[in-house]
Amino acid sequence: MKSYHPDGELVHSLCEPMRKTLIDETCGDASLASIAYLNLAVFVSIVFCFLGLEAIAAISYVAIACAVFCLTAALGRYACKSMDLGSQFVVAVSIVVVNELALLLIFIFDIAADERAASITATAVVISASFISVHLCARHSFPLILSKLLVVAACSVFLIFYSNVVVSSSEVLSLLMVAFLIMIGTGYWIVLRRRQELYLQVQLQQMKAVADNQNTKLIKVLEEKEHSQKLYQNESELRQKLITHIGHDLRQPISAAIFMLLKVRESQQSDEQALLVDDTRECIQSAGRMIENIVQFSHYDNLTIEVNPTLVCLDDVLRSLAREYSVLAEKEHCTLRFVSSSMVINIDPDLLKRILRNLIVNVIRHSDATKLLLGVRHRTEGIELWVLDNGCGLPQVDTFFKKTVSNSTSYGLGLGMQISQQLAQTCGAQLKFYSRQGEGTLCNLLVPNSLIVESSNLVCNSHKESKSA
Amino acid sequence: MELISSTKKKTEKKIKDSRLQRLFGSKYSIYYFVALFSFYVAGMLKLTDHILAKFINGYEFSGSYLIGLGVFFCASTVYLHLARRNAWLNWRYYILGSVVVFFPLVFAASALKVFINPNAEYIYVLNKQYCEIEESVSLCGFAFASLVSSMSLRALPVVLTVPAMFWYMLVKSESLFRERK
Repeated sequence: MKSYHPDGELVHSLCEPMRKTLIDETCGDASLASIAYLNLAVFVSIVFCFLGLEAIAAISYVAIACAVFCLTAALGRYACKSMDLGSQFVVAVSIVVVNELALLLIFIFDIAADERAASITATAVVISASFISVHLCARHSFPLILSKLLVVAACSVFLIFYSNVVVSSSEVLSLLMVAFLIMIGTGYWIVLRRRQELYLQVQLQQMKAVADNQNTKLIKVLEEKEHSQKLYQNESELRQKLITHIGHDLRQPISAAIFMLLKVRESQQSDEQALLVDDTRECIQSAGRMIENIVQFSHYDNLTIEVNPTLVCLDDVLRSLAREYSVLAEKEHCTLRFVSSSMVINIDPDLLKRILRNLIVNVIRHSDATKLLLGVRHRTEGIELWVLDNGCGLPQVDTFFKKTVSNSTSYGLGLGMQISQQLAQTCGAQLKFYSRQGEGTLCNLLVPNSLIVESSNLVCNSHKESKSA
Repeated sequence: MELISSTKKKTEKKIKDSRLQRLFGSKYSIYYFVALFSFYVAGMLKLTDHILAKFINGYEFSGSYLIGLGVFFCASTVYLHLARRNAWLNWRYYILGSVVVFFPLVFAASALKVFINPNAEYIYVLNKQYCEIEESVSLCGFAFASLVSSMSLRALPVVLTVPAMFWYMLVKSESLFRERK
């Protein structure tokens, strides 16, 4: 059987859940249907009494009909529970048909009675009662048609063969056919409406099932995530402890080294030696600060490095770095040069030096460069601090970081460059790499205009030295 | 003083409520209720009889109320047991249920009255009045139908009020379903 769902699309056949629900409904509502049929039977018997049927026949009819309705109610309630779908359908059809037949029993009692009701009116009453009962059997089209066909056949036989008045067979048949069509039409409309409702219910159930399934998966994923978060948290705590211990252990020798260098500085030395001692002390202090930052970083478990921007003379920074790494560069057969600049920027000097140190050390140790240049260039969006070399270059800048972390190469682990990039972002600058394999690499730290100080009273150390010279 | 009197009233009301709950929330609450309402039903039927006799010419009392009350007691008890078993909290179960059950019950009560415990004089009067038969042992169909109709008519006030009262007093006061909860 075909029916339409609310959007107007054709639902070609009853799906299994719909069929099952319909049969369950028929079986489950058998008690209610029986009560309704009992009321109809009482109504019909009283009307028959008004039409002349003797009371004893009416009461006997109601008693027998009541027994039949009780039987169908019990059948629906208990028999359907332990049956398969096919048998349940047969029982559902039987319930409808038997109820309808019980309603028609009045004809037999009328025929058998001494005082009979007026046949035509009585038949009209039965047809009316049958019409009222349409909604009770309008779940499946088959029992609906079968039961109403039985009603029409019984009425026809009663009127044609057992009527107490003379009637024309053709008139009776045509009128009953009209009644049959009206009943079937109404019943079919109810069947379609019920199927639409059922279709929506089934859809809803299916959607609920899908939603439940998704929810179960989601809960599982969330549990896994929670578990992995716990693991990560434990690992972080362990790492933090380790770093804290290492930091604590390193602080003491660093402090001792600084103290000893101070002692050396106080002793009589040449200028060159004093400068070297100062640079060494600064290096060790910087290492100490770095350790402090790492300990702090691990403590907060994110990049909450304290940024203290101050006015920095770029020339001082570059000069200091060139001096600091010239010895190391010489050892690695690399010539380190820097181009002086009078620019002053508002940036954390420690972080800036750490970025540049990382880049310079990377070039000296890992690039096999023979030339290294530190310089500054002006751009419209700010200034660029260059660390330019003529080394082997990076294979692919985009994938370099990912690969090098997992696979140690001659370029090192690449962590220095990653940290430099993060530090640059923390300072408000931007670090970019341009590289050609075999030709060299340009590390470009773009300091935006917002950090550049156009006019300041800051006097660079290099200027002081040149003046004094 | 007003405060004291209102507190006193509230306390009295509480005591009354608890007594009511003890009475109707017990194992036999349904029987108490139905017995109590049997008096109400008898009173209502008598009142309706008087009213109908006053306004309808030729209306006569149908006799004793014993069978009607017996049917009412049995049906109400069974219905309320079902209500308790299936936890019917919705008022529709009571109002619609009573209407659905009432019609066959009136029919059954009439049938019992006429055929189980026949009163020859009563049947003779009915047969003569409705079917113009003077000599008959059993009731004619038209008279029986009229009897059922008039019984339905006089039971209508009871049918409309009792279920509402049942629902309000048993379900609203939650005494009937306390055991289930």
